Amino acid sequence: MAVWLENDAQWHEERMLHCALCGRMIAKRFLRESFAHGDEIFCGDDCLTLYHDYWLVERGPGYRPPEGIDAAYAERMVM
Amino acid sequence: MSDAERIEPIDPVTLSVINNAFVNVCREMGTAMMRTSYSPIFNEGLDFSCMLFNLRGDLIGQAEFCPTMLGSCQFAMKWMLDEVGLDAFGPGDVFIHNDPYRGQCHMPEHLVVKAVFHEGRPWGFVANIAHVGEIGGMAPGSFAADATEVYQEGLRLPPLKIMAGGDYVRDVWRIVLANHRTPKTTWGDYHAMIGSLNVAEERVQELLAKYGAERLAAASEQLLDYSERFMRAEIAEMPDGVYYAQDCMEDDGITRNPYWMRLRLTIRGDQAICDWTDSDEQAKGPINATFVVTAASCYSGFLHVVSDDIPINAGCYRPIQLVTRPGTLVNVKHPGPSVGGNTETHPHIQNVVLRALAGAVPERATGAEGASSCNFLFGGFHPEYGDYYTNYHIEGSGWGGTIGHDGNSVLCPNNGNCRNTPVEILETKYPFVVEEFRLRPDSAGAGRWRGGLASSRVFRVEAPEITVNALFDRTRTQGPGIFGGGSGASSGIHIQRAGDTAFRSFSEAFGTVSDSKFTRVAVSRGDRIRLDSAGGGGFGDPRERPRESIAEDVRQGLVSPDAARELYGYEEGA
Ligand SMILES: [Zn+2]
Repeated sequence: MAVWLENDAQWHEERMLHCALCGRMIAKRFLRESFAHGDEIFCGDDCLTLYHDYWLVERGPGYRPPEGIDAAYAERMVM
Repeated sequence: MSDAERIEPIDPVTLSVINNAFVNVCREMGTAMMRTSYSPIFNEGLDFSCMLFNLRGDLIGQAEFCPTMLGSCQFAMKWMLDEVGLDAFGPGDVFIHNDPYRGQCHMPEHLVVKAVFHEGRPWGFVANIAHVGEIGGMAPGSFAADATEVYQEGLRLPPLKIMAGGDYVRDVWRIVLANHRTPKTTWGDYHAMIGSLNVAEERVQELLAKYGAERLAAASEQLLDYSERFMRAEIAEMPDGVYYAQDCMEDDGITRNPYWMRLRLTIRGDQAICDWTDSDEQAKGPINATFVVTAASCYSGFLHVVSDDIPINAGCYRPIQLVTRPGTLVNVKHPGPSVGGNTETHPHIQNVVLRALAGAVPERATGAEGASSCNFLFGGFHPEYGDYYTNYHIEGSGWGGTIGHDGNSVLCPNNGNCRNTPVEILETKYPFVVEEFRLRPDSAGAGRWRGGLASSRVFRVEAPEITVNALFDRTRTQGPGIFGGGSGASSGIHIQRAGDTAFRSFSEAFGTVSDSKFTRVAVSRGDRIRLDSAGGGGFGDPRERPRESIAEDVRQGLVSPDAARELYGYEEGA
């Protein structure tokens, strides 16, 4: 169950939070949800939904591009 | 229930009239800006955009300005509202904001915002974002091609009030003017921006008087929803699938390594997922794009292939979702530099979006554009005027060929949509003589529809010393063609020192790490600097190009007889 929270940095502090799906920086309010791999924060409902039905399905937590990724792209790209 | 929801649906004719009124308010702001600003990058280059926002910070009105700004600004606007709050805006207040770590594109882009009040309550915002030509930092013109952190790129302003109730907030102005190298120009340009807000405020007040606050707000909500439905319908027409594309920045000014951006685009029903996770880690140098720049590239990429009839506002952006990894080329993490991410990486990113979309809608595909703004910045003391000057100069490049059309020639990247500065303006204001400004023959990628041509310009230095900076790309890469079309020519910047017989790269002449990205190089009277922009990629097999089109290209000197023979299989007189 996701909960809405606020970036509680003081006016004189900068606390740079990023959405776990889109990667954008979050100024104030964010959603936090717990997963088996740990807690993640999101800029809003759309990103939380997409995290579930795209990211976890097609990429997976902790995904990083593998070696040789450029060749895979070159092969699939319209030339 | 909100005010907007209580209002009955507004008929399509009235909605259309109101949408056009929003567009016209923004156009008029633009005219005010162009006619009153001091710097050529504003009044000639038109590197600015004028917009309207609702109270949530959604873009509700815009006009034919810079797509990069139009796609990104609502992130900065929303950040402003989150950070300072709606209550911070009073009548006559103006806020300013340029912080790339608060939703802005890159440091030179300054957003000014004013709330429009109706019967004592804020109704929405008028806003203007513009590329302020000099904002301090380590390089004149604030395009530090060798910056390794944001703090070297100029003065960073979080959302700040610069006008309070119509009066100057002098402490803020004094800090800004003390940190910009050309404060008189900043003074004039800031006033042009603020003046355009005042023009827009009057026009929105007229609309409020005509339609009433509730009806006008309801219309803007319905326009947002209409644009969203329209964009969803357009995406739903595309075949579901996963489409891939990639491109690279040739180097970052600090090393000579390329940096790759990669898009895995999923079309799923009426939704588009732009997943950039496979992109390279962020660069040390200033070619990183902020998240909002990448978002704007995705939006404008889609707008290039869908119907022209969609009213452009925040609604049409909703169906396009982004996935990025902070700390990569397409989403720089603090304190990484990003000034070139907005002018150089940005058009590359948009080309990648268009290339991925070519898999889904091949009939609307395009060859790549030159994709470098060829940023050339310079500063010094004018020998005749005695004043310190700086200028931000951009060069047009070739655009890609599309079905039915050759690419446009010598236009700024389509995501910037800026204008070339006339030679007369450059020579009048700055101690250069433009010895040559021409189309480069054979710079266009060959194709059934060829790419647009690049330009070549030679500046001769007419002052004892000028400090120059450059941030180019595509000097070692080329904008690729598509479906058998050829690549456009590479760009370049070269110097012929006074007394030398040849043009040489800046690495050869001055030992810069990069040929295309360097700062603080002192050039002297009599030196010549040649800027070559990049050509656009062609579309389709060049051998299918009509013979009469090739003959005309040869007659005009756009394609040489040799290239016509080799690339197009064309023999004159045959
Ligand atoms: Zn998000």
